[in-house]
Amino acid sequence: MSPRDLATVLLLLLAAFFFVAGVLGIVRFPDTLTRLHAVTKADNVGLGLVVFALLFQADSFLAGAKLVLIWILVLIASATSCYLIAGASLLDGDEESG
Amino acid sequence: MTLEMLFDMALVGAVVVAAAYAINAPVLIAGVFVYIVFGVLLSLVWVRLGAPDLAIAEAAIGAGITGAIVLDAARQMGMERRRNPRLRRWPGWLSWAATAAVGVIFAGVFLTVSEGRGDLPQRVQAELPRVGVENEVTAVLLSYRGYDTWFEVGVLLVAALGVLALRAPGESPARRFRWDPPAVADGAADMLVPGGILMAGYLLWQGSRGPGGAFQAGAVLAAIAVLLTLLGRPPIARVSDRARDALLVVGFADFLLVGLVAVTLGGALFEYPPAWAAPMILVIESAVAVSVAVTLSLLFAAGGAAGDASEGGVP
Repeated sequence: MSPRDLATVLLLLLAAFFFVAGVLGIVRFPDTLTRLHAVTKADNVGLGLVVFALLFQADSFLAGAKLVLIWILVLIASATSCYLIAGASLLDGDEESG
Repeated sequence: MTLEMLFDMALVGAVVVAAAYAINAPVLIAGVFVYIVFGVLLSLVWVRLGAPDLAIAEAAIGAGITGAIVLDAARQMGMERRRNPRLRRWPGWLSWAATAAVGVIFAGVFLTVSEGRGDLPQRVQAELPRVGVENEVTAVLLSYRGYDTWFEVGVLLVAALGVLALRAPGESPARRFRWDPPAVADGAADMLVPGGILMAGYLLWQGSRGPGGAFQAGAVLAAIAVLLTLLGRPPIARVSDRARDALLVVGFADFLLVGLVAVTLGGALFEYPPAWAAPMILVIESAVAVSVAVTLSLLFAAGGAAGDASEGGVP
């Protein structure tokens, strides 16, 4: 296995850890805000690590730049929607647990 | 068993589970969310089948725009927390039986078609130089099966007319979401909207040589319109009714017009002369992309009971 492939595999395993932790958080955490906290870790760090891992496999600079662009777009969307959901849940006084 | 087969089986299993849950969810709003997930999973299925054009269309229209419309409908009907009514015994059985029957018919059709397709892919490839585009899917949609796609654009136009017909004359179909969007949301839109417009232009141009085309570009533009509508600035309200109607019709009309030009140049309808095929297809695709975008964003912006067009609340 080449050093490139090794780096990809290690980073993907680390990304999988963040995604599993994020999903676990959605299922186990008690309310909207803590669940958001968990899922945004998966979105931001997990996807960032996937992109980082795939950069080692990119054929060209352009392909790599597109991967990074995807991550940046998801960061914007994820941070914004997280903020909006958190704001809405505070407005609703959403104390639902379960 | 290879790793790919394992992934495909997990994916197909997830699609079936998502479909079943979307219908049977105990709380209706949960069904709506799972329906959106179902659309995303389906677009992954198209990727695995080697059909990126369909994957983009499914993700943008099936999961994105349709998801937004269904979610908005559920919200307006006050369904957020309503429980799914338990189907009475006989309609429940009937729907399962009908679904199974349709599934069997589709499986039968699929098996017949996949056996009998013969040399069709080779023939499509062989004719590509005369069509003027490198992407087989665009060639089939715009050239080989021009009639089908033209009528499809017509169906979209009829849908838009139906939505407009529900309004009183002179009443704007663009519902405004009356709220003060947080600066964060406005700021994100300011970043995403220009990028989205660029993306739509890229998909349109790219359609002649790779995955992309009028429907994908139109859907991305419509997604931008939905975003702006939610933020209280529906783009469709910025044009006059006349201009809006013209934009709705332009795809259908322009498609026919280019087809007729092909007739005057000595071909059949939609039989573009090889020398002019590439620019003619681009002209059609550009107009269709505009009409698709305006139609889809109208379908979202006009949602809501007739008569309270301006009463949309906090999304």
